Amino acid sequence: MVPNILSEIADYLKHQDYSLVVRRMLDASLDTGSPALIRKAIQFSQQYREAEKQHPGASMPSDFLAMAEQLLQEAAPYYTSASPLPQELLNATGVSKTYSKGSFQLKPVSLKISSGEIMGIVGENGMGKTTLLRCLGGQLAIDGGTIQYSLLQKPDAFDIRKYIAFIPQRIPRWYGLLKDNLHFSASIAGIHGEENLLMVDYIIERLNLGAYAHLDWNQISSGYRTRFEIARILLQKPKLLILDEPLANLDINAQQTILTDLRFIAKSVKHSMGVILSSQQLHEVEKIADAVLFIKQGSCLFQTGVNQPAITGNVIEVETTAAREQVAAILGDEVQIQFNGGFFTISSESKSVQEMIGALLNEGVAVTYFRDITHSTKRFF
Amino acid sequence: MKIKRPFAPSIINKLDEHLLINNPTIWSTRFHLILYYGGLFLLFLFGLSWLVPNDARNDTNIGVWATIISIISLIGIVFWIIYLLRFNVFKRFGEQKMGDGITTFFLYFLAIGIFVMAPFIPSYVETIRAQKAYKKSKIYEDINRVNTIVCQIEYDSIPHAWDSRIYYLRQTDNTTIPPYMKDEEAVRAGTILDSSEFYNTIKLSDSVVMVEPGVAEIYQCPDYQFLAPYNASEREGLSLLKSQDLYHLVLQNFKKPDTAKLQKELRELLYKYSSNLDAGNYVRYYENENPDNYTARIDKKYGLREMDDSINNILSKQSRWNEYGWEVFLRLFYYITICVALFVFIFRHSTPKTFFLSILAAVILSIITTLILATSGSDSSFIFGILLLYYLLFAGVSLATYSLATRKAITGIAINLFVYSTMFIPLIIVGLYYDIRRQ
Repeated sequence: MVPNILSEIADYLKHQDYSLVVRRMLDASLDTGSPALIRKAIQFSQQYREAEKQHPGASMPSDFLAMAEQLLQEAAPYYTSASPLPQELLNATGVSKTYSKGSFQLKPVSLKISSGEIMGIVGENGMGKTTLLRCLGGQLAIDGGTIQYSLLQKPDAFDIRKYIAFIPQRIPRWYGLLKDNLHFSASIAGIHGEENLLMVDYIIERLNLGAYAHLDWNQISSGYRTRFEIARILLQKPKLLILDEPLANLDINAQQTILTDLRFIAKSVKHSMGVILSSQQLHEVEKIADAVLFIKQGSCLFQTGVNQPAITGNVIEVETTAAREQVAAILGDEVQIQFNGGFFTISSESKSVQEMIGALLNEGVAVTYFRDITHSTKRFF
Repeated sequence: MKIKRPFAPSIINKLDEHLLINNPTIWSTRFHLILYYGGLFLLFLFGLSWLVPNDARNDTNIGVWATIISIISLIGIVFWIIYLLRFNVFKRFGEQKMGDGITTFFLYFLAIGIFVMAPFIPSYVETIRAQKAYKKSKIYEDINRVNTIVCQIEYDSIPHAWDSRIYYLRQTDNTTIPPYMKDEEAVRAGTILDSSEFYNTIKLSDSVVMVEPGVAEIYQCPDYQFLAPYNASEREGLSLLKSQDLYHLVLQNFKKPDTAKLQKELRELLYKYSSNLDAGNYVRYYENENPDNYTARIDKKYGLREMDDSINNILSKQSRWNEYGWEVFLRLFYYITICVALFVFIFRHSTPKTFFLSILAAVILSIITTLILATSGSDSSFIFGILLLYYLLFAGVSLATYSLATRKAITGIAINLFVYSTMFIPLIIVGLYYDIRRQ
């Protein structure tokens, strides 16, 4: 199957989603592997950012649009073959871990991940998400089970660290200029000379870090530190990327952007990779993840497609100014209502989501927030 | 890649950029910067040592210089290690080529070598300055001239008669003891000597008359070497006139000299080596010495001790970097550099926890081994054997655990100790070899 990234870009262009146009154009240029095209895509992106800086929100000049069309035409010949099939990257079976100090125990967890897949690990604080990720990343010795790094044969610790990139929640400090660090990371990953310069420029542009690349660690916010760490790791082209709470330090827009970008990058036509990330931002993760694994008290309670309890009834979250009694009166005895501080969690075995929210709206209840969590792991919290 | 480095020309920055994107292993050692800034530092030290006032006749203050520069070098090494922590190829799990580890170690060795070399620079410059200021042959010539002049001027006040004494060779049957000398008296005088001492005394005497076999009359010339600096030993074909030489040259066929002219010449020579020394640096013994002693009297009269001190200082500085001096320097340089380089290498290739645990393990192992050796009264072969055994043990554990997917502290400790002790293996094997041969 010929990938439709070019038609996707054309579509964004038609709807004037220019931010997405430049990001996907950069992805497409990387897929082509053509240094000339990558360089043009970088210029294209820089042109967009400059225009945005000068006149935010204004429509793009005609030469920008012409350049977009030209890039699409130049990229088209590279997309004649089908994209490679997904490869299994990691197969963990019954992985368990007990710390010598403390009573926490990660009970046996099994999971598989392939290239191009994104898996979200969700759960409350202290439930074992980081422990699981560190075990998978080869950072913690496991007490039980096996972890098979499918593309490696008899790997040692060094091979595993090259195969898997692990981004911890607290990112170790970088020293020196941020850009130097990126050049260094690319260089130790075997990207030398002109290619090194090009790829660092590319990743800076792709993650929109240009304004900060000449600074050092102390001069950027924790959100940008996360982004730079992701940039550094992506330059090293790991097969599997593990991120522990990557969204913790990001604002809402940055969260959306990073998650979307991770999805795009993971599903790259030519350079796909597996991504495992843990987060408290349940809904955001569920939006982009192909599979979700929910951990509670060290046990896996839910895993998409593997350990999926049968769904009975429907559950919604509603935020309203109406009193609990009023909501209960409108929805009747067939629903159970829980008040969770800011909003109501309403579940019903017999009523559909549409019926519940429809009843509230029909009665003139002011609903300021609504979400159907019937299929979300949120209902297990 | 746009850091402004002080005193760095653009070529250094270009080299830095080139290495960063092409050879991260070398770049991350920062060797190019150490070489440049270390070279500048060495040049600065060389220039400074050359420019600061330094009279070759004065006592050296090189110890103070070496201490201060060693402290600066140590601070430099600490700064360098902090820089090394910033970018670590080996802890970032990048691509590694065969030989990267050896290249890195070699560069560490050279970088630390620059730091280690620095404290020796002032000493080397001091030697060059002393050699340039005073020609060695001229110094020897001046010493001989001073002694000759003093002998001429003081002809009337110095002894001329040679001391003589009869020595006997001890025979097991005591047959050679002359009948006119009682055995006890000769023993008390210390003149009955064993054969080796007897012939050695003859060899070292200024003159000898063999009275009969086993009986020698030894003549000792009075001391006319009023100026005989300790450091002016016979070397490089240069030698001082001995007392008997001076006797034959001046006293034996004495002719009355032009005393005024000689005194003027002596004053000039004394002035030449007068260094305005702080006399407090030296211990003078004039006051405590016997006023009848003619050498002490002449020393004091002409101030020859001061000249003696000056010449000693000059010759000491001049000969500091002779063949023996270079041997000492090379040994110091090599062992300090390799020890520190290995420490840095190990530090960079292990986690801080493993590094410090390795040091702790080495210390504990040393204490235990010392206790065992002290209580067992073992010989050196046993000690060398134990050290080799440890080495093989570390090597075994390192090799057995090298390919494991998960590293543990014990693995890291074994690898660290294995790498560090490799340096001492040639020494141990050589020691063991000679020990076995000796046995």
